[in-house]
Amino acid sequence: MDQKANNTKGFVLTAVTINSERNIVPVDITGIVSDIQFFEHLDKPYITGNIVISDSVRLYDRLDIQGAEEVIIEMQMNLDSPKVRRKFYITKIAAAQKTNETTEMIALTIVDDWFFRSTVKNVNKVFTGSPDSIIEQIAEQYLDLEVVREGSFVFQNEMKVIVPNLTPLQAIMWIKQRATTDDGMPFYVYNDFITNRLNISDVVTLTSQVPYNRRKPFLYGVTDSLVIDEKQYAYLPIKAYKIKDVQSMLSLVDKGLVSSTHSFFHTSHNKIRNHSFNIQKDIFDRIELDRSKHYKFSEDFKIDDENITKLGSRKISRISSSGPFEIGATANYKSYSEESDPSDHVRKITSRAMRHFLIKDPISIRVDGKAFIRGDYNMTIGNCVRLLFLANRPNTTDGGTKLDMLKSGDYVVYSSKHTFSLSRYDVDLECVKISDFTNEGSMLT
Amino acid sequence: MTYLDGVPNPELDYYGDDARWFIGTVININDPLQLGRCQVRIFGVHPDRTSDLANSDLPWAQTISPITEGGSSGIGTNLGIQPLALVYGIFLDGKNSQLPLVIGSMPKYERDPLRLREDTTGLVADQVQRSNITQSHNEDKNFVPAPIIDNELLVGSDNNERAFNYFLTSEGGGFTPAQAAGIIGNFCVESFANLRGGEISPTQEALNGDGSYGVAQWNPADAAGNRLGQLRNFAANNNLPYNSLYAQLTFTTFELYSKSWLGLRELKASRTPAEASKAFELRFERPLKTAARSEERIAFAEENYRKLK
Repeated sequence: MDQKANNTKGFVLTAVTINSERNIVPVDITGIVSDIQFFEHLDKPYITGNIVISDSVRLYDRLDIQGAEEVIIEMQMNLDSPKVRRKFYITKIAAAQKTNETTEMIALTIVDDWFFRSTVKNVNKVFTGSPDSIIEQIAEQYLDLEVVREGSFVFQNEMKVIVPNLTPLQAIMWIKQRATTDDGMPFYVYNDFITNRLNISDVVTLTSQVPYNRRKPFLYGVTDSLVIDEKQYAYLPIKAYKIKDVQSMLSLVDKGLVSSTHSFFHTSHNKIRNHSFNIQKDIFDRIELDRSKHYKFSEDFKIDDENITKLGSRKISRISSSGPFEIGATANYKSYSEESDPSDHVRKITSRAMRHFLIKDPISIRVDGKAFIRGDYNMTIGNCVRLLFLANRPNTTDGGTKLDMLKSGDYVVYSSKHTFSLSRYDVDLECVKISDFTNEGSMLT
Repeated sequence: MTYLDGVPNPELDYYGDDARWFIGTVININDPLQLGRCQVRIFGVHPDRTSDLANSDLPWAQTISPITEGGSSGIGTNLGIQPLALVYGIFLDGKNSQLPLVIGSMPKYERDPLRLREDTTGLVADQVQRSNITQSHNEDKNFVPAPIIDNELLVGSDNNERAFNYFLTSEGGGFTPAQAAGIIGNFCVESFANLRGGEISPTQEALNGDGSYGVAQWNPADAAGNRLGQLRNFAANNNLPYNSLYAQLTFTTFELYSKSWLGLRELKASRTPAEASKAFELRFERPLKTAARSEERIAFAEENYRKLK
């Protein structure tokens, strides 16, 4: 892939090198790379990817890839922009296939440097502090990784945990599950392709962002220009979109995320804290999700004349603690699942429900990747974007709406796939909706 | 493809669906809440090194009483479990492994050195060869070599930790962590721990050639009561090599409890590592004032207390 000659694709692949202790010098494979893909996810603190190479120089034969080689990838938006440089490791050869007498296509699966280093380490140690500070300790001690915290404070404080033989990233994800905001909103720990750091952010912070593309939203529809109320608006086209496996309310009900009864048992205190969870009452009526009016639950969902938010469809019983670090009136630490006040357990339920509700109706879009490789700023996961969809049958005769008001709105990017090929650079964004709009004007200002 | 499948799930619908059992060693039974709990170091879940998990950071495990006890209204007898008991239990929170519950103790090989010698005949020869164990201070070749004795009878990743854990047990005298650290602080100075990065040694000979030996540098001079000779007799009577840490620790406890002038009362009254170090130095070690190095003993005591408590 000769990248340096021009930049019509929206990116320049500066270097792809494979290195291992077994090689005397790094092997530059930039010229034979045919495709690269990266995957980012809001719920995963690492990046995975694929590299496809068109091997006509006996690379496969001579390199003898065994599945732990280092791959350095360098790219930039154009020759004047900052470079993005990430280190990956090959985890396996996914496939190898002959295409002609002299060429073989080889697909390599890669994971980022942190994940690889995490996999070869074991955490079996005691940690104290708030969940986010423990995450920082693990990231620093085991991965030498910068952690950036954004938004709300973590509600849970001074806990003591003994990490039971997990990799550093597993330990981070395990601790993350115990972190909520004061309102019980969940936290996400993620890594993006551009910045070399671990991000911690809560759902309220993520959903409160102003879309970075509000002046030039992504638009799906066959149109030369977006004109509404005789005013022309700039936009970036959505090449394709897909909606699949969404609005699975029954699945949420089945998990007890709509209505359920919860019991938390403290075995040494012999106390049980019970709570009847009702998603409307406990979350949507109670918590101000900023400008989002998307989260709502219709009063019309009834079974046998009873609203399903009141049916208590699941009974969930957990042991919250046995007071393993309780030694008297003072100097006590909470254990992993323990709360100082029994009523604080409600945050666990809220957090779990919110995590699932956030991804209840995702939409996947494909857009041109130009401008996504900015070297200094993450444009994908964890960001808010505005998406507009033209209505299937625009009501233009009486000045009515041109936009599909159900699909159009503001979304948080939940996962993404960057695809760099010989001819173009596309980004697939899986987005979750965070706000509805009542009129087109508010979406275009 | 997901790479983090091994993350324990804290969100079980029913607590009993993810049980995980364990075997562990009881480290401490002095439950400050007096609920019959014990601190257990769990094999395979808790690290062996106290630098990664200090004894004081071990979780307090609830214990199961037999149904012949009352179980409510404070009715029932005191639990009889002792430090170093091998116990079996389950985690109440499954793979999260934070809430241990001890169900019972497991009768085990009770560390009789005589039987140990009989049972490890082949092992001994093999390990002597592999570890190049010096026998110069082990005149009776019938004894199980000291490193094997110490590995079998003491708990810890190095000699300081083994000694510390030993002195906390009822067999070791039931000392507090501060008192145990005070003793070890003295052993560090006596056995020239500076030469080994701070670790005490039961095979240390005196650098001045006066024949003193071991972690406490027991002196062979008749004028000093030939305490080294007494150590050797004590060890021989108990079928132990006197160059083993275990023999020297048990002899230390024996001396403290059988000879009141060696300062058991003062040691037991001490509350801090520094107080304990001073008490042990003045009454048990009795060094010449010119070679006392009291501050160094206290520094070692406090350092070991921080690491091991």
